[in-house]
Amino acid sequence: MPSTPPRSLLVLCYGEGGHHAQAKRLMALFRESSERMPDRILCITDNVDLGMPHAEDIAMLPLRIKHGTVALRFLALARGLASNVRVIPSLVRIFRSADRAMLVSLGPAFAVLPALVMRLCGGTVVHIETWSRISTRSATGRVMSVVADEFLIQSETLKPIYPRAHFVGRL
Amino acid sequence: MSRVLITVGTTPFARLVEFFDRDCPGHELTIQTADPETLAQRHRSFAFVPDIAKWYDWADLVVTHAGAGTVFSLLESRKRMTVVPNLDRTDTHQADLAAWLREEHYAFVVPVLSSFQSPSELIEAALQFEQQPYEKRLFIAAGPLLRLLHFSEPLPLD
Repeated sequence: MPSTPPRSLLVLCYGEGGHHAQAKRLMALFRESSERMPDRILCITDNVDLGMPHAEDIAMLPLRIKHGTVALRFLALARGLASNVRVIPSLVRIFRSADRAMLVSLGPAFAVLPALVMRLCGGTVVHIETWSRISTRSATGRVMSVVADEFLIQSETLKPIYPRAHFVGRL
Repeated sequence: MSRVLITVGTTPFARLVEFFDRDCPGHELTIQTADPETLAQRHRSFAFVPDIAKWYDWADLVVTHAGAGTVFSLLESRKRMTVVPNLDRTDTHQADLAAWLREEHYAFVVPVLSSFQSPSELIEAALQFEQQPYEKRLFIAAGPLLRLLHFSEPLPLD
């Protein structure tokens, strides 16, 4: 009797603007490759309008705002954390429903929480450092360089500051 | 007459919009703003649109913030580009990308807009800049990532 192939789950974490552009390019490259596509694709983003075709979406709040005073930034962080923590049970249920699961982060700060959940659920975490970084580390990159199983960089000039990173070209 | 597109992406960048929202003889300007409340008054202006690429094609010169999505799209299409990093943001990562563009001569980079008296002066300088072509290093990890997911195959990387 033929065995059923393991059910696979790919989780993409990305924000708006450049993060979204990178995610779209990565998805296009996945589809162009000759490899089997994941059975299920989940997008975790801060704007569900940025979802991908043939993928499901979960919205999380951004942890950082691009403009504002220190007080407003702190409020955004607190509100985002409080809201995003509530998503954890859903993430655990979805991550555990797959035989094989991998989370790919493209840079947003809110990716850290799902990444930790993915690790605890036994899945793989990959962080692709955002292409806007050429010679400096992002705050998310600092954390994800510890959390992720694989840490990929899009600029060779980052190698000295991320010693265990792999340069993989640019999306 | 040269056609110039000014684009700020999804984040407000009032300094850039205000600098170009003045008379600019000899040039046709189109200004994309982050939201409909901050449209320019003296030139064609619209808020963020998803199909901005058609405006890239329209323009002889694109003046942009140093957002990576815009910058790499323009580099790949070898468009003449002027980059003004948006340092009004709480994070200053645009300075990182802008410094690289300047070092590699991939774009005319303007860290301080006030170093130019007028939009015309900036545009003339930008049009004379000798821009180097960008060669993209292709992303090689897509297939390996799917093999890592399905077969736990290690990434064949450096």
